[in-house]
Amino acid sequence: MLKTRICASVVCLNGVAVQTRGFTFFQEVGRPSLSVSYFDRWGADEIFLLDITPSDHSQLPDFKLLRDCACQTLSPLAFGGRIQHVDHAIQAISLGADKVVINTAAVSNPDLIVKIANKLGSQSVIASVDVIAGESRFEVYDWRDSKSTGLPVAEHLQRCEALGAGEILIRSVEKDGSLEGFDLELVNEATEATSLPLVVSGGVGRPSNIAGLIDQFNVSGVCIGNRLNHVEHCLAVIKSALASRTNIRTETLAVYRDHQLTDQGRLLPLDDDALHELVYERFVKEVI
Amino acid sequence: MNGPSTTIIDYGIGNVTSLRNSLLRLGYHRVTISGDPQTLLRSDFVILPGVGAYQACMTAIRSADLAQPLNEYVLSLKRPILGICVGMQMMVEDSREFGLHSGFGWLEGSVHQLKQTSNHPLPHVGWNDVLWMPSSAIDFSSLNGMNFYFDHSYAIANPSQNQIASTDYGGPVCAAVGRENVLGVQFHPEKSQTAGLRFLRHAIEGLASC
Repeated sequence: MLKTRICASVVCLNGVAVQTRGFTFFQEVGRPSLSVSYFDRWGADEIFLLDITPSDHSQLPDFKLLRDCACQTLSPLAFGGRIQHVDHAIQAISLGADKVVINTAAVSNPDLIVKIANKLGSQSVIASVDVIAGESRFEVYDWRDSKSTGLPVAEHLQRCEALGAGEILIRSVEKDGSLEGFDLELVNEATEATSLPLVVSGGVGRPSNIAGLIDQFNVSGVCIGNRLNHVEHCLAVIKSALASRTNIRTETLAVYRDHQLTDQGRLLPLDDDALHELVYERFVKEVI
Repeated sequence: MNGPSTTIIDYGIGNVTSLRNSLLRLGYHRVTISGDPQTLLRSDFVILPGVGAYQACMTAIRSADLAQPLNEYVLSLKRPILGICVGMQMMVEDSREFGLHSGFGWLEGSVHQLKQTSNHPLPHVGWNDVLWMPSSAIDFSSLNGMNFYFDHSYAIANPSQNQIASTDYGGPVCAAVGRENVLGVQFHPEKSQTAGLRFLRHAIEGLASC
């Protein structure tokens, strides 16, 4: 059975991984390649490396960032940021990305999705859609202009599908970095609008947010951002809270099934007896 | 010690960088990424990657003058070859993706689109558990139940007795085929983390002794 992907996003600004909140507040986290390395080892089913460094149209995608990160992971890697030409996509794939993420170009230059899909296959193109609630409907958000494009989301998703995108990454601007949970109304609209595999981003605060989403909707995956930072084994801990579900992949060396978690999905400290046992326990490193 | 002299076929399509990274992590250092027929014919082990459209891949291989050397390597020299994703699909007779296109025909079978339903959209993308068959010449049973990464809309529909692994996506899906020196997997071992590394170790060691 296909597992629901629990993905990690590494958002980068000027070469530094950052936390974001509502697409306006950016707090530095550290080296992106380190985040990628940790998330890969701690159980990420896929990593989205998203470069939000603003630029004019003449600037190439940050291939150095991609190269530094791609060698740190043995899991699927999607790369986005300033991909404006099919040659950018080809180079990204050759440097180790599996998929390219197209955001603003899907609105301003939809032919790009067609060209990339024709050259590299639909499975290599993810259409990334940022969404804000307009007066009466969900609309596509332009993160560079910090305002709504006025485009209805459902229409845009259908267009991306028709152009040849293989997957959709959908993100609520309001929920971004909020730790409040996903915008389920938006998810509902997205699942109705498109038959493509859907990865939902924006708002994860605790494992129950993910459980609530995947119990209600048949999504392909969820993407976690801020919640993963500054927490050792973050993904392994989050997945352990979802371990009773058979549709989650849990294959990391670090396993937390026997541990107690708080409502927030954080680990409770072990008692002294348990810690004492650990001193004498031998962990043999797997040699493949 | 450094493993067999391995060539990852470079014909412009496929994630060769990640494949090389995986092999290096396993301690196989004699790895070349090359589209040169002579390099291919001198290799002890060949990996044939492939993503995207079947016809585009077959056309690119023919344009790179690699079709005849590959046939010689596989059928005359009978040395080991591992096909990944579309690389595996090219090993069978033909594909029905956007028309009818012929493959190498080293194994029986043809490639058809997976069945799409509302519960099973295409592509089949993500991690899925794979069941390995006891009939396989190489023993992959220690990998049973582990998840591997898939990303495809087409699969080998009738692999016959050459099928050595399956997964489930709205019905059984051929995950691997193999016979003698030919081995193919639908999933991406270079993107399947620990499971992928373990598979590559078994595959390379297993094929080396075939």
